[in-house]
Amino acid sequence: MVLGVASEGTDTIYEFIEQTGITFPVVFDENRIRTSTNFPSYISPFPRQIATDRKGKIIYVASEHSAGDLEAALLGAL
Amino acid sequence: MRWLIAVLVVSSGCKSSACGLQVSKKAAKSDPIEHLSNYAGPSFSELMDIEVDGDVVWFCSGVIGLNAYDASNPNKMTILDRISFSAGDDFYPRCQHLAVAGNKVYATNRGDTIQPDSFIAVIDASNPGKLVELDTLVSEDNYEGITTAGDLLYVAAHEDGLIALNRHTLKEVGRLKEGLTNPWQVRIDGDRAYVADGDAGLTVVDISDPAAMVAMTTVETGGTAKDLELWGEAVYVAVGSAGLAVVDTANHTLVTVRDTPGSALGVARGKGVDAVYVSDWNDVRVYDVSERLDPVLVGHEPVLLHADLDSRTLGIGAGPGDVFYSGNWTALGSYRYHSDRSAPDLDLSPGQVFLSRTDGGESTRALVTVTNSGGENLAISGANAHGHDLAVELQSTTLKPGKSSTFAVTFSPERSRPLEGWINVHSNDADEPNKCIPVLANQDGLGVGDKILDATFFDLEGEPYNTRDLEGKVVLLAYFATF
Repeated sequence: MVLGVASEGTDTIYEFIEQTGITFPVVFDENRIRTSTNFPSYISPFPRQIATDRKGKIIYVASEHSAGDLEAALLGAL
Repeated sequence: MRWLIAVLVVSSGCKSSACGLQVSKKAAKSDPIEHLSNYAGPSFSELMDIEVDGDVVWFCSGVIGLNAYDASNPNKMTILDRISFSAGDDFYPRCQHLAVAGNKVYATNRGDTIQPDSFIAVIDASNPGKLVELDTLVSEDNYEGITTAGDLLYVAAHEDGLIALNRHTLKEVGRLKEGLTNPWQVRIDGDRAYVADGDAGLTVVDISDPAAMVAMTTVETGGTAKDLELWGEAVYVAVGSAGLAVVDTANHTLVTVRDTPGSALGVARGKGVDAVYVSDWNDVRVYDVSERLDPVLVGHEPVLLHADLDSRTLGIGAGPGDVFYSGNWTALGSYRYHSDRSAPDLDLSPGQVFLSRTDGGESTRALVTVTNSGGENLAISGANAHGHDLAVELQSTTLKPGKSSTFAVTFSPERSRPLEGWINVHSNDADEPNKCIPVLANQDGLGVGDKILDATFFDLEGEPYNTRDLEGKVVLLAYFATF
């Protein structure tokens, strides 16, 4: 399951969804899980990915974007 | 703060072997991709679209606006001028895509949180050293990719479809939404428009009557079609995480997809050489297209800001002859493709290793994949690990072009403590003979191996998603920003 996690206003997110055509749910991180991850403060907060396996254990954390690495981590857990 | 201090110590003490700032070395004589220079002029960030017209390199900066560089000597580019636009925000002028036609440059901005106006700006480029804005069209439409054909502009405008405008008056001539999904970019060939149409793939549009455009067919490419180039019987489509797709224009069928490790967001065709250049988020990739429908990877050139940051290589443009231009978030680089050369090319995945948390007396391990993306055999002589209790198991081996193997990185601390180390892989790679990747473990905060916090997220309609309730599924939290 993919959850897009946003931090901007709802109007902006609605427009973005319409613009890009994404179909996965978009949620808001009131719990600040992103800032709990072990990245130094100088790393850009966006984009960031956190993937968990079926037991809720974190299997992948990354700043920025690496499609191949993310795909490998997810396929290993499926 | 602890992280920042550690990075400073590594950078200053071991410049020759620390990952730190990765700068392309001077290419070996066998390296088919030669990094010529990085322009070190006025600062900018968010390097977006690039177009080359003769000796002038035009590029959009999401923060500065439109830039013009003199590239008559690609080894030493100099800035001619830059201009922000009357529409939009003074602090973030914005520029996403551009098209050059005669003495004019047409630039678009789609509008976002930072700079909400969507517009097309028309710039007088008759003197690139003194840019003047001639006209601007601000609209509710979400303008993205743009191209010219005669007296017309064609604009890919997301949910607003494909829009044709008179490029002299900016009056709308026609619009097509039916049959399109999410247009990102458009290219014209005669009475056909080829549209990079997001998740739908490549959509072909009959534009014989621009006032009554008709979608003819959509070719599913996989991924998300963001950019494209036409070349004879081939359409090259940058399809994001799926890589580079090739479509045959004779029968509008998908011929092949070349997977890339990053996210292929830009593509450009050579202007004097049989090559296609792809910007792949962390690097630029060069494909030999002597056979137009069968791209062969020649190699890649990293465009890293730092080893522990990705470069965000989005734009790419082909210059005259065998030169091309790309860059990362804050720098524009020039490159030369030597089609008569062939060399091995080392690719490591992942680009940074995050090991699972471990207590003292236990080991944690990760696998790294090494791939030869070049055209000659890659001879790997071994690897070194830098970090207490860090080990790497990599025997000397030879990889043929296109082949991969894996090796293990292991951290075995006697007591629980953090790791900030790196490994160097030694090979006959033409410009990265001691490729370095960072290795991290046991850092403060959540990381690999930890249980996700018990938390509830709410979506736009207030629907809750609790992390404990989602157990049983593989979950990806993808944090993003629209700007």
